[in-house]
Amino acid sequence: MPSATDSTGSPDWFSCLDRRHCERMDVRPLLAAGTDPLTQILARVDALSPGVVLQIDAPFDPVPLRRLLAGRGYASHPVRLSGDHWQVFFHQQAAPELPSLAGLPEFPLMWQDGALDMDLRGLMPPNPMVAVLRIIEGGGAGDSFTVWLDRDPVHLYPELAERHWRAEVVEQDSDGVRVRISKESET
Amino acid sequence: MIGRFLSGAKNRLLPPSVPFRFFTAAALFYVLFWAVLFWKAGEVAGYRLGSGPVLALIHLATLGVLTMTVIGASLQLLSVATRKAFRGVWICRLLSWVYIPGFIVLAYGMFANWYPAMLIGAGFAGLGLLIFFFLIIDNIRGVRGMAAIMAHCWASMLFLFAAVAIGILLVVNLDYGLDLDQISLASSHFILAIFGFMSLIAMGFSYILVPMFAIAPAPSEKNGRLSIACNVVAIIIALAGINSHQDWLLMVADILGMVGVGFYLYGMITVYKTRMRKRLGTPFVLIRVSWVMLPLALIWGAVGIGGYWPQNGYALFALLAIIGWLLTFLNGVLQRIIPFLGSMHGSNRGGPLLASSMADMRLFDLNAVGHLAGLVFVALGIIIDNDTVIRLGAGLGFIGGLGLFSYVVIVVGLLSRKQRESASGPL
Ligand code: HEM
Repeated sequence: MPSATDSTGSPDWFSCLDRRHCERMDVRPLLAAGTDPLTQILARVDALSPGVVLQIDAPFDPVPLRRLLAGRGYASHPVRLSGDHWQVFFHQQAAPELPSLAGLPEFPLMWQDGALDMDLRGLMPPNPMVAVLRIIEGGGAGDSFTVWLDRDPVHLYPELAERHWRAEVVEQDSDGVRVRISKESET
Repeated sequence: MIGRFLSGAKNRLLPPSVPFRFFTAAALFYVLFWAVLFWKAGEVAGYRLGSGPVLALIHLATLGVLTMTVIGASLQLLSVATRKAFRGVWICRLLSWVYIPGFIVLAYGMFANWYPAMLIGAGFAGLGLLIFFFLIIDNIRGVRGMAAIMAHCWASMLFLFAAVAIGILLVVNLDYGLDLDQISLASSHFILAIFGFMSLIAMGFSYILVPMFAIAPAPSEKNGRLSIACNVVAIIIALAGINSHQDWLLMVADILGMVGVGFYLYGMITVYKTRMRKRLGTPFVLIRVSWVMLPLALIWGAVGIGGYWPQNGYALFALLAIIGWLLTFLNGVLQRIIPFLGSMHGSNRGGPLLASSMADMRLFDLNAVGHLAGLVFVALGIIIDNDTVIRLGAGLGFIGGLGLFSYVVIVVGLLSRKQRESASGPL
């Protein structure tokens, strides 16, 4: 479920964060040496005890990493300390109840502004369509959610129409399209 | 808002007149195929080589229906899958203007044993296929991902190139008597065209189309890679076997082909088991029958290589591969693609049109029943060497063909009406 936020815009879990329950990992030296720290980060995440927050120091806001870990149920909160120093905190959330996506390859999935957001780019067709229809048919994502797709999902439209759902492009760039998929209103 | 989304999708799709001219031609030649089979039923069972009505019949099915459908479907679907637009719609249109008349002249030349027509037709049809070859290669070049499907496309196109080159050589040899080994050339042409070009493209597209129709996760990439590797090696060994007259090589190729087909069918069965759409309807009856016919053709091929074919064994083999597997499969695919394209291109601001609102879906049932009954009776007629039974099968197939053709014509009529309305309407 989406995290509640306090008046400063930080999520509750971050505001109440006890730094003693925080593990720190500074990836700046690795990046400076030209090493991709992803494998080490993932190993660290796998070894994390329940309830412990992982703090990563990086020279930028690692958005793709945040998306990736969101897919594994981690909420994240970035804090910019200076121009090239960011601290990003990862906290494991209770996994939302979503329909089974068995048989599909893993893809980043996170809750954003109260709605589910899935990044289905790079998946072999028709897996993006299957993921969207599983979410629609299984419920669990409410009446609206967004997906990133790397191609016009032309074959999805008739399927959506049949189920009384619709699609709207909300963002488009060279990396793909972000599409909001929502239930047709009764009227 | 759907209107906005759909307009983007429509831009990605080619103008409907491009795929539909190929699909309409395919449906027309499909009806014509059964009609000629009905007329010339007496010449089919014992056919082995040479020009005449049976050669025209074979090419009505292969160049007229199968290749025509594959061209329409590739132009329509490949750009969506690769996310690259084709190099120019005018080239696709040019392709139709060169290929379709070229094919008609070739088929007539074959039918009437009229060699100059065969030569001219072969030249134009060959040129058309060359344009198709370059369009596809240009579109799939440098595509990242979907390695197994791309490998199928590459292999299929290279085999098409070789099949067409040999096809033209066969015509020249028939006309000028170049003293080439016509039997080995014709058999190589058969393997390259039916198992190389057509079967590989059909299998490659299956990895996207079948899960899309059934709404199921795509089968594993590894499966597709193993299948294409076995199949390509099998085809090369088969060509070596034919041209060196070594039957044991042909047997090795056949067995390897069965392994390749086994991987393919395993992938398809996985898709079928994990599908979300439970009622798949008539198209999948056809597709499932084609999945039985493909291994059956290979098993029957092995019986022949072992020297156990009875009289008419070759005709039965060609029937299983061309009508049983390929025509049945592509008929099922057409039954899904045509309503989809119709619904996308015929969409209005209320969203895509529902397939059932465009034309009576029972036309597809008629098509399927006619096609399958045609297949069974023609096979039976070949086995018992009875022209009347073959003719009965052809008649049933003809009625089924009219079902498909009527559906296509109704959808094309609807789309052109819509296009005229939107060109002259106030909006
Ligand atoms: C421009 C292209 C083509 C030309 C000029 C052509 C020409 C020919 C000729 C002259 C023969 C007769 C050989 C003989 O029996 O003496 C033949 C046989 C055949 N062709 Fe084609 N062909 C072409 C394309 C294709 C394609 C694309 C397919 C399949 C998709 C195909 C399938 C067949 C089959 C199944 C046979 C029967 C072979 C046999 O009897 O063993 N052809 N072709």
